[in-house]
Amino acid sequence: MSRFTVPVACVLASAGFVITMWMIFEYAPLERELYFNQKIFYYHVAHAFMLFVAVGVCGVSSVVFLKTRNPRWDDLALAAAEVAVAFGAVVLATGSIWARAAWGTWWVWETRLMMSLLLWLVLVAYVIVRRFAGGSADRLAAGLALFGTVAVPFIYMMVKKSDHHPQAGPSGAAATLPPRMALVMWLSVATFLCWFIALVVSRVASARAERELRELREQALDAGLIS
Amino acid sequence: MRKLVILMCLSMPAAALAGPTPPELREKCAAAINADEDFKQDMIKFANEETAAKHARADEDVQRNERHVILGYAAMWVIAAGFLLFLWLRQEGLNRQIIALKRELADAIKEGK
Repeated sequence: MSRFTVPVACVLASAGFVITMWMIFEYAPLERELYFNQKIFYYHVAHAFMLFVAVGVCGVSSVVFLKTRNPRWDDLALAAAEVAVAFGAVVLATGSIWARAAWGTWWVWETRLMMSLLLWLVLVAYVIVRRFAGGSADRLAAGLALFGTVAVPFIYMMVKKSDHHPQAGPSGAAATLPPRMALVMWLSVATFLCWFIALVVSRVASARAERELRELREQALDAGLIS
Repeated sequence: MRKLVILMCLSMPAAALAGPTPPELREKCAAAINADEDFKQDMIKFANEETAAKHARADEDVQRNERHVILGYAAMWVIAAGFLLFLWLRQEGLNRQIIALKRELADAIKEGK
């Protein structure tokens, strides 16, 4: 990864934040049924997309790590999982606030929402295992990541099971948006994609440095240089 | 000729049932309202009040929704800031570990290990 990746992604994301915030409140028209609270939609959906991307990256990296045992893939999986926890927290928090505004309740016990919560809990479990499970934590966590990744298509495709939540898929809410709303939504997704790249790449570098430092310390201990 | 008589017999009740058309009715209604000045003013007042009430209700909705939208965006930025803080703390911890390892290695070199 180029050393310019993080700065460029940060600059693009920052510009995107400013532009999309202006567009959300000034450019995008008011939605006729949901009215002003629909403004939450643009960042809520962008975060949900990035959550799925992060979980996908984490799952694929975990599979490759289990196959090759190359720790670089494990670093990527860890970085993606931590970012996915943050994005997932935003999705759940904003979804809950939006539910309160639109439906009058903070939470509805319906299938898609439950699955989203479960996915987030699996990701939290991944991070906890990585932190506290000791020597074999990487392989144990990789298994958990696979379990979480399997949930993603279920959540996305669970169109007909959802009573309250706006529908996804080819005939869903995002696909039938008026052009101005669609433009703002996809710009928000692009912005958060840049933000996601910046976070993951910098976290990968940090995880790699942590691992290399740990290995160096072990070598120094083995050589009797330090105690 | 017989066919023409039958057709006329059938068309007469239909012509008798057909009343004034909607535009004609609208014109009659408007003329009736405008003929009575008090009634006309009452209608205008009622329409204005109804419109004002609709605007007030819409304003209330916007105000109520605004709070949720602000809360939603605040939650996003707080979580993002929290995650950045977490990354920064991890990096600080890493820097401390590097400094400690360098010091330990420097001490080992001084002692001639």
